[in-house]
Amino acid sequence: MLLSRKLIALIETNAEELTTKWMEIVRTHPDTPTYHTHDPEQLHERAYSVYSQLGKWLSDATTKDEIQEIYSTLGRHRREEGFTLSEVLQALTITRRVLWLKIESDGLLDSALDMSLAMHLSNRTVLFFDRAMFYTARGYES
Amino acid sequence: MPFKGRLVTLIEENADELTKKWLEVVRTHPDMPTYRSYDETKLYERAFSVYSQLSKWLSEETTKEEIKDIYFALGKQRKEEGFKLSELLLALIITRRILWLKIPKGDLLETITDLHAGMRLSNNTILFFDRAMFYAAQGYEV
Repeated sequence: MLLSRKLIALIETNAEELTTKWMEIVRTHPDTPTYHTHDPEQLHERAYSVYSQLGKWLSDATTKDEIQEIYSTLGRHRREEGFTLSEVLQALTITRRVLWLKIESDGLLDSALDMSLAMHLSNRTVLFFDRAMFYTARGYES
Repeated sequence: MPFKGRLVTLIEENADELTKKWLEVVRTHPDMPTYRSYDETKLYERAFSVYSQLSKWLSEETTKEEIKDIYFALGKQRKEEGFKLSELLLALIITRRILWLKIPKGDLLETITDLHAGMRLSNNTILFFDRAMFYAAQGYEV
């Protein structure tokens, strides 16, 4: 799984650049209007904590319960702050897309082995965000 | 037939099997109580319409607006029927996961061309479900 580690390192070491890109999108996207006026420091902190610790989030050692705790709380906070759930879900989707665009553009996916490992990483990333979105929705509803 | 086309055909030809698997999961899942008592035929129809027409949904000719029309209406309808939004999101996530069970994983795709096609199919599928989930949430919020 050398490439998986390499790709995760690519994201973690570029966390600041990815967070900036994510901020640029959510603060102008027509489907995420409440993000346009929300405290940028708080938004930065949240996205940076995903990108800079991607290895931790995708690791087998991270349990569903840990993801549940963090994202249920996020969902509850966002509701209290006046966000609609659809925009929070859209922001999470954008987090994943920005991450994946970086891997596709800089990931050096040249060989069949690299592509195979990248697909494996893609599946793990999707699983993490599926859980994040589901628990965010549950927290929002609670 | 190109590899991506073969994979999509594989899904469409197994739509009935995939739909039955999906029904089995959503009707027993502890996080989806409303699906247990909902009309099974209606649930079958909805999932079957995704699996059996996958090539249409993943085609570049299918616009965002078409996806919006269908999933916005679904979100609105499910709210009226008493579902939680988190249940609906989970049902869509499970639709995508079951679809993926049928597709060969990275280590079974031998050539770089097949792997690229597999990755493209994966990305297209993820994009379709991202849109479906977002519009379902928007419809639910109306």
